[in-house]
Amino acid sequence: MYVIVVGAGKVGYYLAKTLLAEGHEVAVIERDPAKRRKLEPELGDVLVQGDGSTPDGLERAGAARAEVLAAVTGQDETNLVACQVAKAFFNVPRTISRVNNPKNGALFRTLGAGAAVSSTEVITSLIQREVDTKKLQSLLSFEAGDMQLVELDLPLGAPVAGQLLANVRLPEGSLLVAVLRAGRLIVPDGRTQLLAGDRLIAVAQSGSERALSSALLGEAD
Amino acid sequence: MFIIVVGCGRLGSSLARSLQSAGHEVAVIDWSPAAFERVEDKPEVRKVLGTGIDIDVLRDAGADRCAALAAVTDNDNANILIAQAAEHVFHVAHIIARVNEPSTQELLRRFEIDSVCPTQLAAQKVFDALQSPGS
Repeated sequence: MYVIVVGAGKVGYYLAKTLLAEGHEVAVIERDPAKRRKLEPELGDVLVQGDGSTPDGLERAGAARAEVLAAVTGQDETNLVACQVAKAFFNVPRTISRVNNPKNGALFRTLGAGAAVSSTEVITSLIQREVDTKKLQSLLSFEAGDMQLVELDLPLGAPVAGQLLANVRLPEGSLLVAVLRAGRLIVPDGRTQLLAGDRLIAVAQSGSERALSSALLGEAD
Repeated sequence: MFIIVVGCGRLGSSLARSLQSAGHEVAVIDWSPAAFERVEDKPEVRKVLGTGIDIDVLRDAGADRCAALAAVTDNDNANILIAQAAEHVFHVAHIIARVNEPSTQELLRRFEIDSVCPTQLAAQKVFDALQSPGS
């Protein structure tokens, strides 16, 4: 897959390295010569000189054949415009923008910048979840946060410990997808017996976490 | 009418002064307190400290009740973001953005947001002056 990364800061650098290691074709566009020089020995031809938020710059990076553009500079406005230019001028099918100021996340989605990723938002939501439902951990968010992959450890005395999954009522919008037991992965079905000490992994729609937690762990104290 | 000018550099401050002199209510936004020295002698112009690419700052300046907004910082992308926030969040009736890079102006044209390109205007003026020496 051909991926254009806008911005050769820390995020851009590690993103490019990871994508290259996975066998993707990558171009990193950076307008600051000092930043390019620093990465030149390692990234070489992958680096493109230019402003990734302008049609000229993206043209130089070969945007017309890019499948993904990820704008990850430290400036929200640059990331927004890079995504919009990629979509409007080059029909890049997928754009992802890094959002530094979490207040811009909603705005970016409204303006059609593609997926907007804010590390502040992610960390904040992890902390909040920690506070909200002590034993339920979010592993991954899908679809702009509407769906979560969560995990929890089943403690001794949990109401479902010892029961067959067929007899456990899980709230609507949630599904148990894996059980980790003594280092083994079990794909559960109705005949799976849940045991204290199991690590459970479930898919849950946002809003159903609390109900899921109380179904498995009993009413929250 | 009430007009917000984002960016109080040479262009923004000059614009704010002219608008105020023409009888408009004006608020200027800039992240640098030093920039407001350019409109120091105009106490009627309201100064709002903060970055214009923050919706809360725009709201503090009165974006939800302004008749027009001019995004004229020296940062093209900031102006483009501000203009779109003014349109989609605050539904400002009349918006104009300054864009220095001619090729980027086309993006705003597609979004049907008015823009001014000082680079092209100046180039045209200089060209005209050179074409007709002495006039």
